[in-house]
Amino acid sequence: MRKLLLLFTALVVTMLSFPMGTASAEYTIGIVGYGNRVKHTNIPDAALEQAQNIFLDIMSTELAGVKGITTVDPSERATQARIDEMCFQLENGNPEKVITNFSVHPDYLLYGYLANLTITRRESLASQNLTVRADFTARVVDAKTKQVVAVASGTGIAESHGENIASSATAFGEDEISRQSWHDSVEKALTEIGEKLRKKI
Amino acid sequence: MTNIFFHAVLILVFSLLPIFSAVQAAPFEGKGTGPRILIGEIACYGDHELKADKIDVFRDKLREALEDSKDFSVIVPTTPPDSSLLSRIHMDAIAHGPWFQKEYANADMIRYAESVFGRDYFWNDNKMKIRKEGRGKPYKISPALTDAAKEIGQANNADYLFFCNLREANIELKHSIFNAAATLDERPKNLKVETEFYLIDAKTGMVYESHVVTSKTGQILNLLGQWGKAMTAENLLQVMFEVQSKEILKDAYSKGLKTLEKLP
Repeated sequence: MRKLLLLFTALVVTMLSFPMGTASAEYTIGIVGYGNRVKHTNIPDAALEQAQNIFLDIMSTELAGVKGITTVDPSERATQARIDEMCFQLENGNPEKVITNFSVHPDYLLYGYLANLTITRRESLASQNLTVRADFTARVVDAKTKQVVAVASGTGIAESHGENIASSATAFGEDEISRQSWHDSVEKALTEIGEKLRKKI
Repeated sequence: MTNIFFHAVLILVFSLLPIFSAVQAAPFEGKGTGPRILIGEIACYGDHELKADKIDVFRDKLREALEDSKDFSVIVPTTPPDSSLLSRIHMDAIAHGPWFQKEYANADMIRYAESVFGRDYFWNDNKMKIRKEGRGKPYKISPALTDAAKEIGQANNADYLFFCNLREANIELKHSIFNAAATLDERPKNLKVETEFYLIDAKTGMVYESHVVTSKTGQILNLLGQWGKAMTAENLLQVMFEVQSKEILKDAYSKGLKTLEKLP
């Protein structure tokens, strides 16, 4: 009897002192911004604009399945979509399907910065190659204290698929080849950042 | 009698169990085991100020190198100190350092140094001689700011404060008769990056100052011929920042930490 009583008191004490919710803490990361630190490039400006979309896409897929973390998009576009969804459900008479927490308050914010995107031409007697190098850095900021919590950088180097430009440029056009290689380089840089961030979580 | 002890142990175990399960480390906490370091400021106080974009890139690369190293553990300040106070501590550490040369500093830095030491100080040859003798030895910053550094250290549970001054980054185009017709991107070039870092012991206020200078040509970094004839200036800068931040780390651990630890 005494044994049971003691056990019971121990259990009660533990239940009171530690709420159950703390056992599985989840943090939300908002993939927010993209900053361009590049002032001089020999790559068309369209590449710099495109890099933003690639950043948002790849970072959200890289951090998607990580334990203890959920990624959210706190941008205007996403909140507008949530509000539209709410209106649609109300119009169709499904008030139980309305999303209640359509405003997102992430714990951490993820910013990416494009540091460098340049193209170099490698020439030899036999062939010509394009090499693109992309450098990205990313900062994770605590949304409450506004302190930088973690930093990760990635570099991506992509060649023109080992093809000879002199011959294939006639078939595909040189712009097309360069576009493929800078897209690849940006992707490589961002996946490297994703891997580094996953290790830090 | 044994029963009571058994119960006591049971209670202890039950009360401790949820602690192990509930304490889940917050993400992005430093995993290093070395002394706890608070990154104060990484800025440019050189006479040719770098563009803000470039310093930001260096800031990120150096911080990442510090975070990844096992010798230090970078902390996120719980009570973030005032940024103007941090830059005052940084400028004070630069001005008191025996390597400081007024001619190669920017206007802010010169004004601060003159306000601390007086205008005549830097023209006095005897005093400058004494100053040069102190090179390579740890020194102290002004008493008011030592107290401030101590407070910051205690509030955030930090052992050291880290400051870095990216004084200069120069790109020199090399002239070569064989490359006369080449474009600016393809011309061989030499890049020199000069940095000074300051490791401040938060308990005693002693400073370790070190100069890390690397100067490399594009050809040395381009051994594999990956970039064709020569690297572009932008690519060269990225690689140099990475090399530089690794060398700063090496110096800070092998020399800086050990000299500061030996002090009484």
